[in-house]
Amino acid sequence: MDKEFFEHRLNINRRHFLGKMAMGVGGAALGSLLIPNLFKGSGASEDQLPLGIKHFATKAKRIIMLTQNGAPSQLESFDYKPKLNEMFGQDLPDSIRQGQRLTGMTANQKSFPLVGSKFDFKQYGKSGTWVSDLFPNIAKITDDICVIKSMHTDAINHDPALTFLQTGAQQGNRPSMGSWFSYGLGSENKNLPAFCVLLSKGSGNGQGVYSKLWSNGFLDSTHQGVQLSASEDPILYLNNPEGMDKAQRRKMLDHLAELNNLGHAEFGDPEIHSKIRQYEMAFRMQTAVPEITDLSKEPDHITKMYGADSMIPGTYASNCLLARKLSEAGVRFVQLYHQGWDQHGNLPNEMPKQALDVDKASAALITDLKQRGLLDETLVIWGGEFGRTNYCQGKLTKDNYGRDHHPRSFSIFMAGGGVKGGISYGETDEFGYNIVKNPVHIHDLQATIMHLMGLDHEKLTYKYLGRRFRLTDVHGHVVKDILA
Amino acid sequence: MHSFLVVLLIFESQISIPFWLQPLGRMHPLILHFPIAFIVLLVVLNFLKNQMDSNSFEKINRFLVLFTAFTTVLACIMGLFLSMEGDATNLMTLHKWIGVAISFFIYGLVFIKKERVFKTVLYIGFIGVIFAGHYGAGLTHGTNFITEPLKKVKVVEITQETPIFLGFVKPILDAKCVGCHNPEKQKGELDMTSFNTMVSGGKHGALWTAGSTEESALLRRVHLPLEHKEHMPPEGKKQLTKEEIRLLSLWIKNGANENISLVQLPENDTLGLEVSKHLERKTQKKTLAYNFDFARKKDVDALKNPYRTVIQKSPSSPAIEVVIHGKQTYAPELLTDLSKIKKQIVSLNLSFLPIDKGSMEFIGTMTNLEELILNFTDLKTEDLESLKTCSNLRTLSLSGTQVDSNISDIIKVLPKLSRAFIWNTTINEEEIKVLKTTFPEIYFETGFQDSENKLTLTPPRLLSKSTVISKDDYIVLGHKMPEVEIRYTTDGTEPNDSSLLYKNPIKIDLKSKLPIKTIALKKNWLPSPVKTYKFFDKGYLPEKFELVYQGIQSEFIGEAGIILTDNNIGNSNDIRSSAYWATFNKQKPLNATAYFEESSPKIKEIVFSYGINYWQKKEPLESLEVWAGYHKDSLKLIKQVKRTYRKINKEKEGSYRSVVVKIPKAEYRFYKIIAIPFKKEKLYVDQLFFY
Repeated sequence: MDKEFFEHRLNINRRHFLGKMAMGVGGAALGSLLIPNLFKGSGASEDQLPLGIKHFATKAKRIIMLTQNGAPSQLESFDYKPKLNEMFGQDLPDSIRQGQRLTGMTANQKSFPLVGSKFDFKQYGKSGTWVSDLFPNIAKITDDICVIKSMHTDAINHDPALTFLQTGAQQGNRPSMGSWFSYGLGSENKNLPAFCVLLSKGSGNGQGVYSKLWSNGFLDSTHQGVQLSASEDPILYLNNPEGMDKAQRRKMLDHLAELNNLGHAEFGDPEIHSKIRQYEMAFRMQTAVPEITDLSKEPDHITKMYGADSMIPGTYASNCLLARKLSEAGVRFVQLYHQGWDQHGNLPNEMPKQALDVDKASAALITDLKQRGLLDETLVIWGGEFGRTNYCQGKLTKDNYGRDHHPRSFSIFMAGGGVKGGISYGETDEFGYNIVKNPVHIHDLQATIMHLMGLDHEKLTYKYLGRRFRLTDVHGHVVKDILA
Repeated sequence: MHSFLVVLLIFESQISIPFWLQPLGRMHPLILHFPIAFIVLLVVLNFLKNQMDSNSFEKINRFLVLFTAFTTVLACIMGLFLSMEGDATNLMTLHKWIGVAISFFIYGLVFIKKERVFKTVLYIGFIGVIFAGHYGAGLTHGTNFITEPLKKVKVVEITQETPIFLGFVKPILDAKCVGCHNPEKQKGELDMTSFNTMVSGGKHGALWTAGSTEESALLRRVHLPLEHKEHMPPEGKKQLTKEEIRLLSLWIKNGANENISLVQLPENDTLGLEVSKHLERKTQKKTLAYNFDFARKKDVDALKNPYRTVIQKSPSSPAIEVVIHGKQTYAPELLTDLSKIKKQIVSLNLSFLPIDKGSMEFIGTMTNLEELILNFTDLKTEDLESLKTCSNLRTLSLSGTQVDSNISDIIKVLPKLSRAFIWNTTINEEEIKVLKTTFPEIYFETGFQDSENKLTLTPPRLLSKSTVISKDDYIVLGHKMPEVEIRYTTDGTEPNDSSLLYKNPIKIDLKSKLPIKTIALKKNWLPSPVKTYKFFDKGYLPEKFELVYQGIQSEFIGEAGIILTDNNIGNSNDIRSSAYWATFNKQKPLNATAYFEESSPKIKEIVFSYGINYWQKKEPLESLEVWAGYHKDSLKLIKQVKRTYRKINKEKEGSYRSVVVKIPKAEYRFYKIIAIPFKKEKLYVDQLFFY
């Protein structure tokens, strides 16, 4: 065994030596030819930037992504289509549907009766943004948000669509967006994980959320999302066991690190070092995390803003409050999932409950970031994985209907982080079916988010299995029109 | 070939070349390098004549001359083809005739035998090549190509008084149009270098109709699809951006006036707004450049540690951002160590830290500081005096601090301050109004203001996890909000503001079987709804507990053997994905054997607890059998319960069920419990109690 390791190390050394020779002499000469300012000093060129530095200076430093899992209906939230109310019960014209694919749930439906929103829409703010009555608190902050009504995606079912939104691929083996930012920009606060995940569940028809959505994929495991628990202690097993104090713990870790270093000297496995780093971070988290989860510094009206629910661990409101605290403390990417938006049926009864869960807290999060001067540097994204159909799934009655999956158009909104506030971007046709202006594909959204964070989506790559991977694969255009 | 060239030259205006010859013409820029190289070679060869033996010189010279002559005329003919594609300009004519002249000169060389004449002709040809080459390069790269880098320094300051055409429209056209539409290379007979030449237009008429975006040829071509033949700029060239198109359209709509400037436009004019946006962007780029040096990388790296983040803003900027984390781990040195890079720090975040006055004085020496975040520190207004020297401060964040309205004394000496965050400070609404009127150019963020209407509290929470306890276990209640009062009753009555006050963990009498009813109260909040917690006696745990089937969803939610004895009562709202319910069906029913040791207390009662899922409409339990015995092999049936398959009313009957089985003699060691659901139902069991 020892011999094998020894040989292995010799091999590595020989290869390194040869590699360095080749790079050393030829590389310098070639490098100076290809990159004229190589020997000029000051400021490295963009391609060979060390990780952890932005490609260009931008305001946004952190992201809070409020994923509404299950796909909230755009027709009952931000995409106002009175035409659908006028045409209640009439069949979706073929000229609009154009034979596009439907899910197995409605593909065999005999007719596709159009149905408009049961909830009224009004215009709000200086921008006159349309918002439905289900979201009265988000309606109050329309001048801070940018609604994109022309989102579209490739997938038609929840899991692939959600995976696509989070990882840029439908298969689920790629790093999540948060992992990419952890990899590309590093951690802002070394005492906390760079990528945290918070889950909550509404009362509506729910869809699964799996840990592959915050997987590091082929990136180093330090970039994996850390799921916080919905219990009183968001991070479990962080406290010292009874009878052990901080100094003892420190001593123990120091000795452990010595042993580990011996191990590293013998075997040369880089994972040993990352293990030492993880122990050290956990030690620092023992002081950092209680400060974050401590609500005593929160003024009373913070609770009023987020709603009383914010005092119950595991609710969307409490996750929003925790997200703000994590983000404020420098967590690069906080990912929330709120389940229960899959209204195939009984939409008029389920959706108000879902909206009630998230409306107040989502708006409070944005207001709260704003009043702390953090909204400029924090990008908030709110939206689901796709939209819902303009026709009814199942039986249409006067007060009840359902909507099927619709990947061809849906609405999301963003706020802060260098996004223009008070605008609506993109348009769908009067049936709310196809996009007629400024379509934004999921890859475009991802490219834009990366751009806002100061990263060029074409340059942040990771070589794996012989090719360079990107969050946006080989696609994506930055939506410049929404940049402030 | 030269005769062909002559023919071409004579009939140039009468013939048009067929399209299949065009590629040949376009190879002109490729082929022309041959004659150039050969002529240079010839010249060098003639210089070196004396170094070679004359015989071989003659051979090489002869060969080279022939070759040069051939490639020259070839390049000429191709060049002519190419020239027929586009429109003739002075430059091109010059290039053409010099090229043709060289061709004939070199052709002449073939027949000249006299050395002196040969050399003269060769040198003239060589000089001709230099000129032809230069003019040719002018055709492809533009006439100013060589001198361009020298001229670039001339930058005009663009202000509100600069005519919009000169300051905004022309730079766009210069960058994207003039490359092809200039006096030398007038594609479409159009020259776009000046306002007057643009007004006179080109082959297809005027470039724009002042005031009409619809009739302006310029805009029409810009808006055509990229693939369209008439789209401008042509496919492959740099396209106009949306902002640029918008600006051009608005300027034309406004009347395409050469002299109008931003100040002459009425307020809120659409063109004016657009132009000021562009202007803002231009000036912003300028003002954000920093005039201090990069910090030494070594210094920056030495300052990085887990409690202090030090980041260079971008590779091209010397500006540095610093954030210090952790209240408990904070020491003033974390701040004062930054003195080496204090010139480069433009952004500093010290939220939540115990910053003192001394530290603030150090911050006062960071003269390039633009953004300072002090949210939720304990600072008071007088501690901030030292900030008066931070004259570059643009953003000051003081939310959650003790500052008062005297902050205006500090704000007024900060000339560049544009945003101040004063939410949740002691500054009241009246004072905020005064601040806003005194400093109209500063944006004050005052945040969420507490509204008068009261909200309902959430009920107290049970912090001791399990509701299955023994008589010595404490019950811990809690509430996340500070200053909340928890009151409770243990006698089954509704709690109110005079009920028992919860201070320390409590114990209850489990025999009474009464629940604890709790309520949360707080000043300025409505009382919470009453929350009832029912507790179960843990009873005795069997030494061994074995199941025939581990439940039908065991791979998904955990093993039934653990679930049934884990002292956790399930929640009936959350059966499907909960780890507290074991699921059984008719094929795989509950079949459990519990074993107690000789010494353990004798069991008097077994309680079987199950729940009804929210979609279940009928009673799921068909039969329950309890077998007991002293030995494993000699069990006898003690009790059998049979239920009828009937519709149930969950509203009235609730979603929890339990079956109590009394053990008559209480001297057994083995108990077997068999619970079978109805065929179509699933049975959800959360616990088996042994008392």
